[in-house]
Amino acid sequence: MDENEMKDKDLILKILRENGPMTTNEFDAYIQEHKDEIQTSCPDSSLRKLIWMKRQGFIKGKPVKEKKGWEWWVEE
Amino acid sequence: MEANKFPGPLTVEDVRKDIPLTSKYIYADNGATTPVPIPVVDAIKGYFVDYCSNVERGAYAIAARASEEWDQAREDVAHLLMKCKTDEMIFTRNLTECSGIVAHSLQEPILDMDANGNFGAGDPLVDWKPGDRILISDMEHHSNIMPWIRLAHRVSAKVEAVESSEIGLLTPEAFAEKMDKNVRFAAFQHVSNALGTIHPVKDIIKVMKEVNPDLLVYVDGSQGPGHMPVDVRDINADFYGFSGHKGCLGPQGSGGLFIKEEVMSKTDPLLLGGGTMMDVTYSNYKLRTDSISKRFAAGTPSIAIDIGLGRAAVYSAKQIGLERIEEREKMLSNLLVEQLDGVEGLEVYGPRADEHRGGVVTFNVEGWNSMDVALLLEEEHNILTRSGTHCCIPLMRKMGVHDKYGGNVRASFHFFNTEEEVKTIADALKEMV
Ligand SMILES: Cc1ncc(COP(=O)(O)O)c(C=O)c1O
Repeated sequence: MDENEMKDKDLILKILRENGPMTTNEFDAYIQEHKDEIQTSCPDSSLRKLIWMKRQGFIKGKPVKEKKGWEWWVEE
Repeated sequence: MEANKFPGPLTVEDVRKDIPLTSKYIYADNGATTPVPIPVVDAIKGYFVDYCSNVERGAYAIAARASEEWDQAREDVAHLLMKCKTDEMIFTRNLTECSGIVAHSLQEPILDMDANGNFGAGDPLVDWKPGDRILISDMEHHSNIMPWIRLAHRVSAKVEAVESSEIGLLTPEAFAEKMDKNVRFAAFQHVSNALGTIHPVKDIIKVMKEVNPDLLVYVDGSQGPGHMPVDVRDINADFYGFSGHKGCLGPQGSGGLFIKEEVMSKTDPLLLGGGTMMDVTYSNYKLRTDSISKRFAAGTPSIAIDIGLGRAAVYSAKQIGLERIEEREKMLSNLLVEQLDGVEGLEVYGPRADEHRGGVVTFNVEGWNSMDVALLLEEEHNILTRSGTHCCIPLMRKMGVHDKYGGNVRASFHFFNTEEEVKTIADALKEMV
C-alpha cells in the first residue's frame, strides 16, 4: 500500500469503531454502499486493506466459524 | 544449452528442494505467480556477481558475455517454451505488456525509412473501416479486455465477447457463429486462470481464419507455456503472449511475446531508442534490420530477469519436462475436484473432464466470502491460495459469484505440489462446511 492508498486507514478505523466487530461481508457491503467516500481500486483491494491493517497492528481480526467468516475490530 | 547437460529428469522431491518455500507452505497459488527455483536464482545472481554489464553496447569481455547469455536466454525461451524462431520472440515484463505492444501495433502503422531513403508510415497491420469488429471471449482477464476496448474506441471498431460453454470452455462453434469478414482482430486466452479450462485454440483459430484469412489473432497464453508444451506456429496465432513468472518458473517481471515473422516486420515497436535502430538523424530514423525482434528491446533491458527466464525455460522444459508438468498438474487438480465434488456446502467450478482442465481448481464455501476462506486456509493450515475476482470481473459477474462470494477461491498447482497437499486442502475445506 502506498501513502495515498492508505489515506483510507483513518476512515476504516472509524467504520470499525462505529460498527463494532464487522464480518468481512458486512464490511464489504458497507464499502459498496459508501463507494463515493472510499477510494478503492478493484473489489479485492478494500478487503486486502483489512489484512494490511491487521498486519500493521491497527486492527484485530479472527475467524468466527459460526458467522462463516472473519471478524474485524479496533481494540482500544 | 546441451540437451544432456543436466542429469535425468528431476523428481518432485528434487524440485521441492530447489524451491525452499515448499517446505514452509502448501503453495497453491501458481496461477498468480510461481516461486523461483534456486538454479534460476543462481543464474540471476551469476549475472550480477560475475558479468554485470550492459548488453549490445560494450566491447569488453564481460559485456560480450552478457550479450551472449542474454541472446542464449531468448533462444531458449523461444525454442523451448513456444517452439518459434528466436527472432520471433520479444522479452516483456509480463503478459499485460504483451497486450500493450500488440494494441499499439494494431493502432499505428510502422514508421520507418524504406530502401529508397523515404521516411514514412508503412501499411497498417489492420486497415480499420467503419463496422469492423474485434472478438474476445467472456472469460478474459482484464489485461486481455481493457487494451481492446481502448483500441476499439480509437479505431472506431466494436468489441464483442463470445460466450463460453457452461463448463467455461471456449469452442470453435461459438467463435464460428460470431465470425464474419468484419472481424479483423481476435484476442482470447489459451488457459483460464479463473476456471482452469484449456481451450482448443488451434481449432478456434482455424475456423475463424477460414472465414477471414486476413484475421489477426492474439492468444493470451499467460497460463500456458511452462505448464504444458506449446507450439505457437502449430496453433497458428499471429501473436502469442505469456507470463514468464507463472508456468515456466521464471522470475517475477518476466514474460515473452511471439509475433509471427511475417507480421513482426510490419509491426511498429511501442518504444523507440537505444538498441532499436540502424541510423538516426534529427528528422528521421531507420529501424534495425539485423534482428527484427530486437527492435522491441528499446533501452537497457531487464538483463538479469531475462537471463533468469532463459534458465527457467531450460529448468522447466529440459530438466523437468513440459509433458510431465502438464500431466502432474492435471492429476493434482482432478484429484482435488474428485475430493470436493458432491460435498454439501461447496461449489466447485469449471470442467470435470480432465482433457479440458489444467492445474487450476476454483471453488466457494457457502456463506463465506472467498477472501475469508483463503485467509482461514492460511491461518490454520499454511495453505496459500488466491481469492477474489482474479482480474476477471466480467466473468465473475456472469458466474454469479461476484456479489455472492466476492469472486472465488483458487487452488492452482505446479509440478512440485503433492497428493498429500491436495488431500490437506480438501480436508480443510470439508472441515469448514
Ligand atoms: C489469463 C491471464 N491473462 C493475463 C494475466 C496477466 O498476466 P501478468 O500479470 O503476467 O501481466 C494473467 C495473470 O494472472 C492471467 O492469468
